[in-house]
Amino acid sequence: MGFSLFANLAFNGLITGLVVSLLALSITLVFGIARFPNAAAGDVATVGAFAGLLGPLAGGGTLWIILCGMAAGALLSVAFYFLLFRPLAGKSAVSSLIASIGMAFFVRAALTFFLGHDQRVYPLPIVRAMPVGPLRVQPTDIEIVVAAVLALAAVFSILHLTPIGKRMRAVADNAELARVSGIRANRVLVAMWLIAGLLAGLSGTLLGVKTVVSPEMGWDLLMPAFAATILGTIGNPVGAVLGGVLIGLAQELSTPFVGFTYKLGVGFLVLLVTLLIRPQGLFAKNSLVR
Amino acid sequence: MAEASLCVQGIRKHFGGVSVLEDVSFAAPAGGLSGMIGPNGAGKSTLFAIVTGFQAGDGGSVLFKGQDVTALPTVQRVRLGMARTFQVPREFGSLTVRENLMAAAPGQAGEKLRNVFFRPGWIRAEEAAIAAAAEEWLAFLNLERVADAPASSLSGGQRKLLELGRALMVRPAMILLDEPFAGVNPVLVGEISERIRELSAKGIGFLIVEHNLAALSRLVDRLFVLDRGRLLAEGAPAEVLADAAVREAYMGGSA
Repeated sequence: MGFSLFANLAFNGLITGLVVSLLALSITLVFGIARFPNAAAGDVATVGAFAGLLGPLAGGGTLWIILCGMAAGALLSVAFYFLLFRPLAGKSAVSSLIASIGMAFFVRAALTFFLGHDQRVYPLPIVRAMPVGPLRVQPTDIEIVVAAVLALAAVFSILHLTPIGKRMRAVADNAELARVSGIRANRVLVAMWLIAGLLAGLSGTLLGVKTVVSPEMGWDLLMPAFAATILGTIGNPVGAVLGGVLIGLAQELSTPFVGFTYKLGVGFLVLLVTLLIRPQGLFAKNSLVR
Repeated sequence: MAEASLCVQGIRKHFGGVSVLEDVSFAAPAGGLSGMIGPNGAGKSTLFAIVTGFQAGDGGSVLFKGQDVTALPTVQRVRLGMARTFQVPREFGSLTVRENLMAAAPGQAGEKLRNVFFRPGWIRAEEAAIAAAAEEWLAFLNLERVADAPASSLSGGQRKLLELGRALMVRPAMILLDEPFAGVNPVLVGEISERIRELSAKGIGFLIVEHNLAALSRLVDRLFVLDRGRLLAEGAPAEVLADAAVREAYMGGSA
């Protein structure tokens, strides 16, 4: 267990962490603005990953896989809003949560029914890893990092530099006050679900690029993403991203000690410890939701 | 009297068996300064909530600028030019003071995500206009120094001013103020009154619910008195306050 092993684990952790971050950001945006934990986020990611299989029909390379996945995620997410979450908006958060759990099961069952349990891989060329110092770096790793960082930058630019972003933050801050300020909640919510879907779709395809595409992948990704959301303070976008990276690092760096099989458990452990010691999360002070 | 901007007709409301408002009708003139007083439990808050669309009445109608808005949601009423403030000031605490004002502007283009990507020029022009309006109101309300501070860091009095600023950003025809002087020091009461007068001179109407009778009667030119869900009196402040029934309801309780 030398330095190079841990350096490689940390690099892998960063990549997994970015994938988790994207889904955590999707969850935290929904929580901040629609005010419920969206359990369907993981399965939107799965649908995105499966849609990514259509990428090669549109054009070659990782880019088209990602674009197909993001488009599918956005469509599904906005459809969920109009079919489910808008009609339930006046009810308690629990009804939306339960609806999202139901939708998650439905989506996964539908995928399994039509496409089976088989694992699939994107038809990307297999390339030998490049040595970068002690690291062994796959070209797809670089693509994942670039895609994730660009997406995160885009979301934060929208939130902080655009008028719709300002209104999204206003609704997240105080929905009733937003109403008397003449902010149309409907438009803010459509924009929010669209962005949440794009992020989930992206996170699914990137996970598919890194590993394989399977109907359970999104559900497995949901747990660390929820842990990241809570670790980074629910509703805080910056916190969700940092939380995701921390969880990814913790999962990968723990594998020499707990084994590959149990690294998912590390996400739960982080969640448990956070809830016990600092239930408001690491970034409670400067959060999107007050 | 000028043409009525806000016209409330036969509003009724009961909670269970308790009647809170019984057939309340009044008209607040466009551009005028109207005040509403009444003892605690008179139904002022409920009336305010019905007028602004926060609650539905059990009967009667609300007309705003000649249009029946009884069935419209709050957002639509705001878009028509009916703004309100809250008794306990509310703000978007995590946004800066300037962002608080800008978020409240009735943007046409910036509200749609697709315009951010496909019509950036339109958005920029609109944002520039909104920023200019925000700047103007920040100066008017003396909030320039704290423009870039988070709204949660403001003092109580500054929050009252910010409330007014946010209401002004929607280009209101009328602003409903819910106890603007509550918990505000006398110097600031004078300053807020002065701002309200200036805005009224610009043609913005006000309906002010207030417990501070002295400050209110100096400010408004028309006073409505609500008592136990009924409109007890209305008229010029001096006459209304001299009215025996009003004195009894307001000063003497049930005496």
